[in-house]
Amino acid sequence: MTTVAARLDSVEKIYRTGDVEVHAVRGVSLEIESGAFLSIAGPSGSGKTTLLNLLGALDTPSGGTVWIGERTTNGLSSRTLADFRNTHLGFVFQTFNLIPVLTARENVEFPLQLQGVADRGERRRRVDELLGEVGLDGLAERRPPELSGGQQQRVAIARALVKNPTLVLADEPTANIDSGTALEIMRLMQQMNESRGTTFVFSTHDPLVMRHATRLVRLQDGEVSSDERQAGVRHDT
Amino acid sequence: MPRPRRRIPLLRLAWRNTRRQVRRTLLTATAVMVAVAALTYGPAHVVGIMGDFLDTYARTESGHVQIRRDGYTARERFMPVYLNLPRVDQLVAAVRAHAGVEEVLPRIKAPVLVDGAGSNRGGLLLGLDLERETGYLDPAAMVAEGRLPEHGSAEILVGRRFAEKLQVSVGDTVVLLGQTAYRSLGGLSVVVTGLAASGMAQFDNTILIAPLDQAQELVDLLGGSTEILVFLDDPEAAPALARVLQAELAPLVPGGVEARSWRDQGMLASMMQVAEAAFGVILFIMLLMAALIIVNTMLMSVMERTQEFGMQAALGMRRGDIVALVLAEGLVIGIVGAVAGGVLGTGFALWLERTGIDIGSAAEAIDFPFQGVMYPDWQLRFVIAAAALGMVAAVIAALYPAWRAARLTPAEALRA
Amino acid sequence: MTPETLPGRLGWLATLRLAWRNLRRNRRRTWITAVTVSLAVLLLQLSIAVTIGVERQSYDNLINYQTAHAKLYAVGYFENREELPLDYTLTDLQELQAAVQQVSGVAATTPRLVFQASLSDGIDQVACFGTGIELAGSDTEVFRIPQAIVAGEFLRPGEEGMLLGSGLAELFDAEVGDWLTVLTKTRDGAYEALDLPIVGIVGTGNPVIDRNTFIVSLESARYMLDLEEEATEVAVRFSLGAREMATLRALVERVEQLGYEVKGWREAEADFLAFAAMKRLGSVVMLSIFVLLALVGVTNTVLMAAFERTREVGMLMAMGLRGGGVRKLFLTEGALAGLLGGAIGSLLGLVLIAYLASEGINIAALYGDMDIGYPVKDRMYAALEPLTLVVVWLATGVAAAVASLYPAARASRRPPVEALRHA
Repeated sequence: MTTVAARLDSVEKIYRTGDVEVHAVRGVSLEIESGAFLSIAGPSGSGKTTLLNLLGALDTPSGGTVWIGERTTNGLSSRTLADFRNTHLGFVFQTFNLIPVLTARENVEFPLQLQGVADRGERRRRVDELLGEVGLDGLAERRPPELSGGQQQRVAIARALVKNPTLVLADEPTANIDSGTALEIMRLMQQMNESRGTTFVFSTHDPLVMRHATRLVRLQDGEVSSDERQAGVRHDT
Repeated sequence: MPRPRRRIPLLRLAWRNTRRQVRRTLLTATAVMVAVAALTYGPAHVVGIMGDFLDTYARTESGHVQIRRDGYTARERFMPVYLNLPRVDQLVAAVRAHAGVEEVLPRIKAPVLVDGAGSNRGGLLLGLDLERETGYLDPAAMVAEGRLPEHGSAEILVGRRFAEKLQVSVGDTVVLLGQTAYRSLGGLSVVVTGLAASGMAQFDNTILIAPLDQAQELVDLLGGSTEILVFLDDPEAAPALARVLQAELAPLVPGGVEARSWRDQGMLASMMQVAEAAFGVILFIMLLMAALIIVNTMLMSVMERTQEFGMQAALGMRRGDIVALVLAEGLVIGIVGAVAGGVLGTGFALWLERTGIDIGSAAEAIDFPFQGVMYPDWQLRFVIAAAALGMVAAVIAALYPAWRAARLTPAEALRA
Repeated sequence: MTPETLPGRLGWLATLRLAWRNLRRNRRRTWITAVTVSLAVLLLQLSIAVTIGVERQSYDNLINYQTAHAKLYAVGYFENREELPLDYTLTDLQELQAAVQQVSGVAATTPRLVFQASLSDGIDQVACFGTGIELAGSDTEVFRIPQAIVAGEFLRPGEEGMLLGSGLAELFDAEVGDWLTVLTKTRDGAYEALDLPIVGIVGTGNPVIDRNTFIVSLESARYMLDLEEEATEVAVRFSLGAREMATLRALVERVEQLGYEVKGWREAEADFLAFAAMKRLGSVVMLSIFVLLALVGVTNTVLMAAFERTREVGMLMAMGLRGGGVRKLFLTEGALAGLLGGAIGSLLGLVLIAYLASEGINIAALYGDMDIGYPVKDRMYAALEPLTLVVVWLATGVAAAVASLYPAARASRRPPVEALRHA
């Protein structure tokens, strides 16, 4: 029996800027099973980021329902949404988005502080374990400007995973790094997906990246144009 | 071949650039506004109050030039009638002969004992040329009850609060006792024709105003006075005239005279000096603070636009042009702040000119002829000076950010 | 370690750390802001210290030389006190003093006889105040006249002579040993004249004393005024550490039972207190402009910081930081910048205040002979009060946090999606 990590029911998203109305997502229904390694693909403007924002509880739909785990984000206040994100969701952004004034360790620790994990030793233990898993042993005390792009993205992944979220969302995680490093990052995400069973949803327009997914959802003009399961390229170490 | 004149729309660019971040520009301009408003109102306040002090003091005490018998000032508190100016008409005529003299007023000041209804107490007798004093000591304006005494009649005007203490009212007769010019005791019986209220506590508590001839009779000083006050069209000409009069009148009076301009009358000069020094410090610190805020904002704005400067350099803007552009942006902030501050400071000053600042009973603690309500005196030049200072400070503040912007080479700037 | 048990919120320590590091990220901006704030704080600290100092000096002066802590009068005297009437005198001095002495908080009492008089050196004559004091008894326990003797010496019990205010001495060009004639009018209206030698010259800095007063023994005063064992007032000094208002209330209660009036020095010197309040108000108005400028500086800085870090804020919110946490972060940042500037201003202020507290400001050099309105002699000293310095410094932090409210609120209200999109 597979459990469901997230589900979209006929989700609509309409943005209004002045008189202009943009229908970014049109009636998307999608069920994401736990442990999925799902890629959302499509050209820019196809609604990838909007869909990811909806899944990330950063935004609420104009119509339809978004379920994450057992709960819907519909009608939640911004404060409840924030708490919800804090407990259930992890993010990896395309431009690393670490807190520049904190060290790698402190960046990863941050969500735990937000979650209210009071025991400092406990926080440390979890952070160091994760930093080891993402291959950043020995770099814990560096600050983001002292890390390479790939290393920064590893910190971001560790930070997304540290609170054992229901779902990790990655918006173009490899867009700002070279292709060699991109492969490393994909491999790392795959490893985490397999070893921890964490559900990953990432958006991309890079065919090389899409190939890693076990499920590929293509978007076109805000609608799902195809939804295929595939083997997913493996990089065995 | 002469190169074509370069036409860079600096001010337009600067204006548009500052409008990109409206909130930030406005907030920064607020700093200039606060400083300029304060610097507009500050001088209006100081000059207004000083001017009021000076004006009241000149009219009641100092004149623009004050002529006395030599040695009188050192003994001023005694009000020594024996140190006097005889044949005062001759002196007045001599002073009047000078250009720029608006009015010349002989006065007699004498301490007297007033014997009223059962009680007697000390007061200050002022013998005045009542008609000419209008607009100066202005006894006519002080009459709160009854009328002014008349020349040639044994009549006096009594300070209202003084009259209350003496328990006399209009129509009563009182006896004045005082030292004469020959240090004997003189007396005069006079009728109270009116009560005076000037608003100045010191005055209303002690004053007795008599026609000059009556005072001359009491102190036995026919044709003389204890001082002559000279009022000029231009008060600034007083020090020069005082020197001239000193030399000119000395031979006419046995024992010599002392002629002092209002500027030499201690207290005011030092008050002015202290106020000016304090204002200078305040002005400097305010502008410095406003400038620092501008530096901060403009540094950020310049850093944000590194690429833009690189692009402009690539298009052929020279370093000097970039410096000029950033300075122009500083100027725009300065102008916005200066205009707003000028308007605000002016509005505030004009409002207080209408309503006045009532300092209430605190005035009683000030040993000075003072009405208790202060009015600022707004002048156009204060706004212009404050606005100009604000704008200059803004441009100076922009120098450092401008230098930072110009220091970038195009390649560096584009790479960022 | 701080307990951080509330989800979605950042503990204070973590907030502080983040704010501090962010300030260090843009050092130049932080320093410029801090300097702006420090200028205002420096002026604030200096003004407060000088104002407290000169007011305290003035109050001490008034209490020591003129008003004591409180004075007892016969009913009707206070109302007419400007006249210095002899119609409302105290007669049962012994019993009255004994009764007042029993009031808790009262340290000493002494009778005085204040009267109108003229002084003459045979050529000139000037109206002034005479004060008869109890030499054998307690005047020095209430007042501090001996401290103010600038030439000659204090009167000895039974000595026939006068202490002359320094301003009067200057006016008459008189020295210790010279004789002056005192002219008085008795209660019945008869004129009396008495020649007295100048035994000492009194310079207090208080114009009422220096320019207008001479002091004689109570016996001489009674003789000149043809009075019996009478006084116009009984002056009271409170003991050190006694609560002024409580003591005054107890005194009022006791004295009113006896059928007399008692007035605290604050009531007697209401005009001066109003003058001091006006001066304070003037300073407050002036200083508030500087404070306003400093606050604009802080607001500006935090606004820029929030603008610069829009994306970062979006990311923090994506991770689940609530709007309140974002606000707290920027408020803390503003407060820290304010505290930094406040520390610089306060330290500079401390140095200057310490100097002005020990060396003082030479009034004569600044204002010449002018009466500056405060009864203070020669120099005004700033009050060096560490507690005040610290309180003002901490208040700077609070004010800076308040100045950060607007930019912090703006930053926290921005939806995370929009913030993340920000270039």
